[in-house]
This record gives sequence, structure tokens and C-alpha cells, in this order.
Amino acid sequence: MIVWEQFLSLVTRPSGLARPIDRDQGQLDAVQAEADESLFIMAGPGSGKTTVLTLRVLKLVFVDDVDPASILATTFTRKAATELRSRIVGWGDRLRRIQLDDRATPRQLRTRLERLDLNRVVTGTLDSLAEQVLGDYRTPGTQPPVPLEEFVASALMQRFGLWQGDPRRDRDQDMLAALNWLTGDQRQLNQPELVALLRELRDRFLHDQVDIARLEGGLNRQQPGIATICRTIEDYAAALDQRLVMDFAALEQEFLRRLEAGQLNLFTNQLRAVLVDEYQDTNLLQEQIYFALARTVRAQGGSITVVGDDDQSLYRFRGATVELFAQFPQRLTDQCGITPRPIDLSTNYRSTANVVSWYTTFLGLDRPYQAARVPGKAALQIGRAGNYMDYPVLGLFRPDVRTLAQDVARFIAGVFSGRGVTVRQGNQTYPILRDPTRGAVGDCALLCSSPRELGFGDKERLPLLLRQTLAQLPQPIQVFNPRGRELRTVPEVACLCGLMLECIDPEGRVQNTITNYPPATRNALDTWRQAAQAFIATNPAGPATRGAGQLSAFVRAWQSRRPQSGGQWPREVPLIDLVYKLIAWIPAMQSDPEGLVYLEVITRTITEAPQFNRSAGVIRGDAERADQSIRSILWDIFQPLASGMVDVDEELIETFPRDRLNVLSIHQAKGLEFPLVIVDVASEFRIDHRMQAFKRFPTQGGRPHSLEDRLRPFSPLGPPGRTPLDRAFDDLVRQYFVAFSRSQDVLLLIGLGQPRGGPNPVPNVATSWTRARQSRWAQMPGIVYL
Amino acid sequence: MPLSVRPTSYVVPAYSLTGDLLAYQNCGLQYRYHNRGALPPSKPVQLWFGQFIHGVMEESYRTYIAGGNPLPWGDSQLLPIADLIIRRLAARGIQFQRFQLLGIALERAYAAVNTWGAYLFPLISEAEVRLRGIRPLPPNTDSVRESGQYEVEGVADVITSVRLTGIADPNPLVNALLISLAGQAYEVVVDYKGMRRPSQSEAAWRAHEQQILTYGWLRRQQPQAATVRSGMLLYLNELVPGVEDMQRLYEDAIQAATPQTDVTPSPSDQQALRAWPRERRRWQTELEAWYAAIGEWWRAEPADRGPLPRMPRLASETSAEYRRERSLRTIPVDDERIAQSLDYFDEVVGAIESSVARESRAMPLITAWVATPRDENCTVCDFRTFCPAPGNRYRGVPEAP
Repeated sequence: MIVWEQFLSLVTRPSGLARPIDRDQGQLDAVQAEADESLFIMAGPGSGKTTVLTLRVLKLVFVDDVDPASILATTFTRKAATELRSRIVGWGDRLRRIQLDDRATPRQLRTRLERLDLNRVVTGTLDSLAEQVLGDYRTPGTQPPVPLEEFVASALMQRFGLWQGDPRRDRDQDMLAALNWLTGDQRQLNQPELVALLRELRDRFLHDQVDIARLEGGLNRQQPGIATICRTIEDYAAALDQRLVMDFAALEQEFLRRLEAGQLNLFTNQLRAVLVDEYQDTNLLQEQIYFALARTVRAQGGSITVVGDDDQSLYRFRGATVELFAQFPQRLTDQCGITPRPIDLSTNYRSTANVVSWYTTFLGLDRPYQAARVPGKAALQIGRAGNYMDYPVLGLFRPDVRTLAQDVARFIAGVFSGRGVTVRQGNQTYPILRDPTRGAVGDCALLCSSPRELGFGDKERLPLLLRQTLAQLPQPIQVFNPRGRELRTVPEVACLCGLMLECIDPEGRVQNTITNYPPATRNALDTWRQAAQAFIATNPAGPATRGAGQLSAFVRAWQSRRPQSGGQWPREVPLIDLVYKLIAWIPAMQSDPEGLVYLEVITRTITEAPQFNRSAGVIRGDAERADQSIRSILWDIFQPLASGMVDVDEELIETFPRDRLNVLSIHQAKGLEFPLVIVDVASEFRIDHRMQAFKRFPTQGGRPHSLEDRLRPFSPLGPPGRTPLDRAFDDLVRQYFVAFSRSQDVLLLIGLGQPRGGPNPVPNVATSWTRARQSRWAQMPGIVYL
Repeated sequence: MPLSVRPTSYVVPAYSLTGDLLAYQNCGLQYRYHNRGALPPSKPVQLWFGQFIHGVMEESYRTYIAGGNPLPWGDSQLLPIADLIIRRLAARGIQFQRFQLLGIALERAYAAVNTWGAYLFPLISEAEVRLRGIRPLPPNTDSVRESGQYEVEGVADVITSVRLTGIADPNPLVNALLISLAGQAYEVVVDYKGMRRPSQSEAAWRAHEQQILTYGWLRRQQPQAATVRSGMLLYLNELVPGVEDMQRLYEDAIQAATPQTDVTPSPSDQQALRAWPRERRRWQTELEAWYAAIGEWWRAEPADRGPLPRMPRLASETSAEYRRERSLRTIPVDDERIAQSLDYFDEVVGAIESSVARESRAMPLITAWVATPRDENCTVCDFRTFCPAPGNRYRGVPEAP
């Protein structure tokens, strides 16, 4: 359509897209590569990989005349996919309009530009694409795939996997022993943990393409419970088939099967380019899908481009195999006959020089880690342009977690509600203050290995203490941390669930007849009822005030099954009707984005329950079936809510509120950036306690590493090349590298320690200990203590 | 120098015709809860029926082109398809809640496939066609987007590309097109509607036209497509009207001072409609017995079910021609009408984006989104007791149950 030079000019010039890729050789090479040249792009944090992927797609369209519909681009999350798509269609449209507005554009080109439809570029997560393609290219009489809600998958695993057999499998000692052996963890697992582990194993079997027959045969004598595990997973899979639903692993497996069988040729025959983002978190099953697509595009004169960073691989616990990225060039050559060109994107445009220096130093501290990295990878360079203040990296360490929370809160308030906080380094002062017009506390994030507010034994953790302290400030600051609280402990959830219980089952008459409730569930239900009773006692205002006692009157009417408007109580009342009526008294669930996320979880649980119990979710009015319907609701809806089987779907959170402090896990923060990043490196580490070792300085491999060791001998992957302990250390290094590299301007490390003396001398990767048990804290670039 | 401001994600928001535009037009606040959020409606009657009838039409078409029996079809062809769709919806957590709905949905499935399928299926060139296009956000939109653009998306149920001959055709769909296209050969977008033909005074009447016009524009963006010159809406309830449909038709065609429908009934159909108030009660009684029979039929094991109990006919029903005529609506598609429709789409998207911006600036959600109360909508709204809109007459303390 146009020549490369014209395209480059449109991309780089200020009146075009103003993306100066010509100043970065890696970016230039990646975008300019020929349409049939496959690429292996190693992209460090903040190095502009989304820009490069977008411009590569646009170059294929504008310069190489590749039909937009023949380009497929995938990434890891729905949010990232939305952003990639937005850039492709948004920037592409701008390039098109600039040329159409230019009178010098020849008529022939003008006609082609007018007919150009960039919206047809295929983008999404691999799962969403698999779902779409399997639906579109199915044969009559077959069902399109229906992906399964997480909680329904867990419920099906529990009912149709775990609760089968005689004795029931959750009491089968051989199986429980085999599970312990697989995970390397001798703890006795509770029901939700058992279910989660079995689902994890099911995923791993598919992700790693485990040969089940060989696994059973190979381990039967050593671990007789392995066979029961396999049968449990088979029964779960059969339950999915019966309901015409698929979990994500099955969706990908089916996609691969049909690709390899040539049943999706109508789709693949049109492909010329496949681009894959976040390749470092790919598993074997996904790799095989990408390789099948790569073989197709190669045959059609196209290419595959993968982008990733092994240093940012975080998802081993979900089956990601970082070696697949590190060994990509060789594997692609061996399996597809394609040799990709390696390209480094190694200039960081996000962070200040001091921040980049901090995390590149951190990455280089531990010598054994270097052997796990892609060989010959370029070192990260500082590339941030324009005027900026190069703040020193800050440290805030206090002897106890309460003081720590208070001083962190004071710092945040100083920056975002006060006149700013000034730090000194030598003779230089650095005022830290928010942008006076557009700045807000949403410019700051606290990153933790876990954002949970309560720890073991309901011990208050830093995120909770910080929430409480910030709420007590003269100008209170709210916290946005929907993953921080177990659903059952959220006050609004407790209140709503308690009110439902009080309405449908006053005094727990039916609840008390359930003898095999797990104790945690029973406790949660009782706590919810107490919360509801306390709430009713406050006589909360409803949407209109027509006298007192309105909520209590409503609840009493329900308890006695006497309609407030007279007449007969209906034969059936859907539980969801009751929910929508009760939230009239709970404003947070009407108007607060976080409250709405919780309400969505509860309503989703109610509407999905009929997938494993057809009559769940309806309260019957007729005497003979009333108790049965309540019992079903208590089992099918309240038990998952109370036991932690149901959780918040982060993808429901559309935006992070600007007026709240974001508290995120490091995993959640992947792909994000914030002007001020606070990383909790040591708020729980007072002494070198062995129970905390896995979080900071492992003494052995953890569960994902043990699963790899046990299962990979039966997978085409073969046994891992590094020891479990090394892999556990590698994962911690990557985790904190990702955390530190989220910062644009200020990086603040916090934890237990001495105000001027740094963190407690507890071995901890995040505070620069190498696995040789040596602290390198003193060698880190100058830190200023607050 | 102050801290940077956290960059927002570069997002070109995508708006669909049905999931966004029509839903927002119903009510901004309800749209926020159900469509942008994930709160399920407590009474998903329309959701189930709409998806059921679309699913049946799509699957029937797939079966037909894969060498299925010639139409019309009976129980042995249609019931397995209906069963497949019912199970598919259940897998998505969408269940019918009453046998009344199941019975009438099955009747309409028969009527839709056997009435329109026979004519439409041979004309289809593409089914379930994804359409997308990009547009600038309207000027002065209070949006937080860096992109300044938005994406329009939709799925056209059917695209036909008939080469029209200009001579009378036995296919009534082709005839209708002949009238609207004056004998030219172009593509036609067809959309199924699991509802009655709206009154001309209803917002839906205009909204459906806009939907077709926007599909026409989107289809024109696709390089391989021929120009869309006409659209067709098939209001499938009209083939088998229910009690509420009949009541509304009576009000539109007979009771209103000025008829609110563009399809004029013949004298004999007028006579049939005038009889409706007299017939209604008896028919409802017959229907109640039929719902019970449907329930019994459905509860039996599939192998033991026997023939589907058929819906009792209204003693003075309108003619099949009238029902067919009411079911079919053609919409000419031309540049001017497309431009008007897109202007309106832009305007609605501008309003949605302003609400998004207000919410992102921490305005309480209930005030960031504008509720637009309309009685027929509010009466089944899950949020009516606390919706702050001044015209909401349902606001107040809920009553048990």
C-alpha cells in the first residue's frame, strides 16, 4: 500500500503517531521485519512492547498489504487484549485518516484506504479466540464451547469427582497420601484446598500434556492413590461433558485437537501472521497451539512473532513453563522448521534512572539466577525522556507492623493530601508531591506478595492496618483492595448474606439439621447472622423513610411467610429477588464500585448454582418442599460463599478508582505502572522463621515445583533442568523484579527493621539476599530511609 | 516537580448495538448494573427467549444447508434442535423459569422455521456475521479516553445476497425486497427479533431501524461486501402472538384514536381483533391447561415424551397473511438515513462515555449514571426501590416477599 519510509515517517513524526521508533534499534528492527520473518522479541519492562506489537501489525497491513483479517494477535489477559486491540484499531485509523486528509495521496491508494477495515484483525486471549473459533467453525448439531465459571468448576469437581466412590474419595487415604506426595506438602487439606488441588492437577495434566496411562503405570506401586486421582479427574471431565461446558484447559485442548485434525482449516487457511504477547507464561499445550498455527502461516508465506521476558514470568503456579520461552528459537526450529530472529527491546522508557538502576542491580545480584535467563540477553538501558526528578529509592522500615502502617499512611497522606514530603540525599532535596491538578492517590500502589488483610489465625496484616490507619486520618483516604479480604469477611457481604439467612431460615432451623457442614462454613454463617442482627438493630434507613423498623418488618414478614401487602405467600420466590430487595438497605452495594464487585459475586453464585443442582436458588412456599429448598440453598450457594470457593473476578474491575489507594498483589500488578510504587518487602519478617521461608528465602521447592518434578517425567517436557530449590529462588527474584519495575517515579520499599538501619537481618530475596545466604543490601544503589 | 499522573490505558471502547445502545436507551442506570457490570436480571424471560429463538434459527439454518430435510419440519426435526439450544443456554446459566415460556417458545420456533426459514434459508450467504467499525467520539464528549475514538460492533443474524430479477417472485421476502430496492441487486441484512412488532410510538420502533442502518454502515466497511441497500426485521412473536402481544395489538390497531401500527388489518382481521376482549378470558383458561400439559410433557424422559402438545388457537384469530405481514418489516438503507442513524449512535455513546468519566472521577455510581424511568421498564426493574430518578414511582421500601 505504502513504502516503508512513508510508514516510518507517519509513525515517527509529531503530526503522525509521534512514536520515535527510529531511535531504538530493537523497536525499529521488530517493526520493520519482513512479513515472512518470524521474530523472538525479548522485551524488558517499560520497553514499549505493546507499541512494537501494534506497529508491527500496522506495518504488515500498510506496507506488506497483509489482509487485516489474516492477522491474529493474542495476549494474556482480557484487559491487555483490549488495550492491544485499541491501539491497533485506534492508531491504524489515525494513520488511515492522515493519508486520506492529505490531498497528495493518489486516487488508487485513497480507494484502498477507504476500503481498509482494521477492525477485522483478530485479537484476544488464547481462550477467547479458541472459544470464538470453535463456535464459528462447528458442525451442525454440535454445541459451541461454553466456558465454565470458576466456582461451578470447583462445585462440579467436589460433587462429581471428590464425593464419589466408596469410601468417598475425600476420605480415601491412598489418594490423600498421593496428593501430599505430589505437592511435597504433608499438611492435611481442607475441602476447598482439596478441590483446588484436584483442579490444578486436572489443568496440569492437560497443560503439560501428561500421558495419564504412563503416569498411572509408572507410579502405581509407589503411590496407589494416583489411580484414584485420575478417576476423580475423569469423573469431573465427564460431568463437564454432560453439561456441555468446558474449563479453560479443555477448551485449549479441544482447539489443539481440531487444529491438528485439520477441522479448522477454513479459519487457519486465511492466516498470514500470528503474534503472541507474554510468551514467557505459556504452557506446553499453548505452545503446541501456537506451533500448529506457525506451521500454517509459514506454509502461507507468513510468520510468527512472540514477545516476552523470562525475568517477568510469574505464573509457574498456573502451569506456565518459562523454559518454553527461553528455548523458543530452538523449539520453533526443531518442531516447525522456522528459525526466528532474536530481537532485544532493552531500553526502559518507564522509570527514572535510579529506579532502573535499582532493579537491574537487583536482578544481577544472584549469580545462580543468571543461568536461568535467556542466554546473551541485553542489559536494560535507561531511556526515559524529558525532564523528570530522579528521586532516590526510598526505604521505610519500622520495628513493628503497626508503626510501619502508621508511618506509611503518614507518608501517603503527606504526598497526596498534604503539601508533599521532602526527602534529602546529601545536599540534594527531593520534594514528593502529587500533580496539583490531575494527581490523586490513585497514582500510588502498594504491592505485596499477597494483598490479603488477614493472615493465619486472622492475624491483622499490613494491608488491613493501612486501611484502618488511612481511614482515621483527618482527611481519610480509602483503599481499593477487592482481593484483600476473604469474601466471607467483607462487612457488606456478611450483612447481605446474614439478612438472606435470617429471612429464609430464621434461627437456623434448617441450617442446624445439616450435620456435615464444615466447621468454617458453620462459623461463617453464624457470624453473618450476627452481623445481620446487629445491622437490623441499627434501624438502617431505606431508600425512602416512611417510619422506623422497615428492615425489621421486612425480615419478620419473610420469617413468618406473611406477605406485607397481604394475600398468599407465593409458591416459589427466587433467592435473587430477595437479594435485590435487601440491597435497598445497603447503599454500598448500590453505588460503590467495590461493593458492586461483591454483589456481582453473590448474584453470580446464585444464578450459576442450577448448573449442578437444577432446583437451587428458589425458596419454595409449599410446606413439603420448603425445607428441602432451603437446604439446597444452604449447600449450593451459602457453602461455596462461606468456604472461600468463590472469589472476586478481577476482570470485573473496570478501572482502578482515582480516589483510592490501590493495594495489589505483585501478580495483579503485572503490566501496570504507577508513579509511586510502595513494595512490601518485609512487613512480616521479624525473625528467620521457617514457616515463612517460602515467601522470602526458600529452603526447599514449593508446590508448583514439586508438581513439576512429579509430573513432567510423564510429559513431553521431560524433567525440569534446575533443582526445585533453584526454581523457588528464581521465582522470588522474578516476582520482586516485576514489583520494583512497576514504578515510574518513586520506589519505596517497606518492611520490618530499624528506621535508619534498613530491613531486619532476615534472609530475604526481596531485600537483596543471594541464595548463598549473603545479604547484598549494602551494595544496592543509595537508598534514603524515611 | 510533581509526580507524574498515572497514564490511563489506551482504550478504544467498543459499543454494541444490542448490548449497549439499546440497553442504555432503556435506562442508563440499569445498563450500568446489568451490562457494564455483571448483575444478572432476576427475571431473564426476554434474555432466555431471545437467545432461544436466535439459537433455533441459526442451528436450523446450519442443519438445512448441511443437507437437512426440506421444510416444513415437524417434531422429529425441530425438537432435537430446540433441545440442543435449551441445553446450550442452560450451560450458560440461562434457564427458562416457566413452562408457559417454554411452550410458547417452542410454538414460535416451529412457526419461525417453517414460515420464514423456507424462504430465507436458501437466500442466506452468511449467518452470524460479526461487524465492527471505528468512529470518532463526538466532539465535546466528556470522556477520559486518550484515543478519542470508539468501536461499533454487532452481529448480524443473516446477510443475504439475492440477485433480484425485478419480476414478481413467489418468495414474499424477495417481493418485499423488490419493493424496497426497486429491482436493484444488493446485499440485505436480516435480523430476528424475539418480540412483537413495536408500536410506531415506541422507542424500540426507531431503535430497530437504527440498528439495521448501523449494520448497513458496518457492512459497507468490509472490503468484500456488496452495498447493503435494505434491511429486514423479522418480529417472530407476531407469528404466534401471546396474550400480552394480542392485548397490545388490540390497543394499537383498534383502541387507539390514531392507529399505532403501520400494518393495516383487513376487514376480516379487524373483525377478529375486535373480538379479542371477548375471547381473552376463555383463551387464557385454555392456555393455562396447555401450560400444564407442556410441563407434563417436558418432565417426561425425552424418549417417552410423545408429540408436543400444541397451543390452543384463539377462536377468532387473525389470518396467517396478517400475522406474516406484521412479522416482516423492511427498512431501506441509504446514505442519508445511515448518517442520521450514526449521528444518533454517536450521541448515545457520548452520553455513556460521560457517565464512564464521571464514575472514574469517583462520583457515586448511582448519580454518575442517569436513570431514565419508563413505566414498562421500571415495573420489572431490579433496582426500582432505590433508583433515584425523579419519575420513578416504585422508589421506596421493598415489601416482602
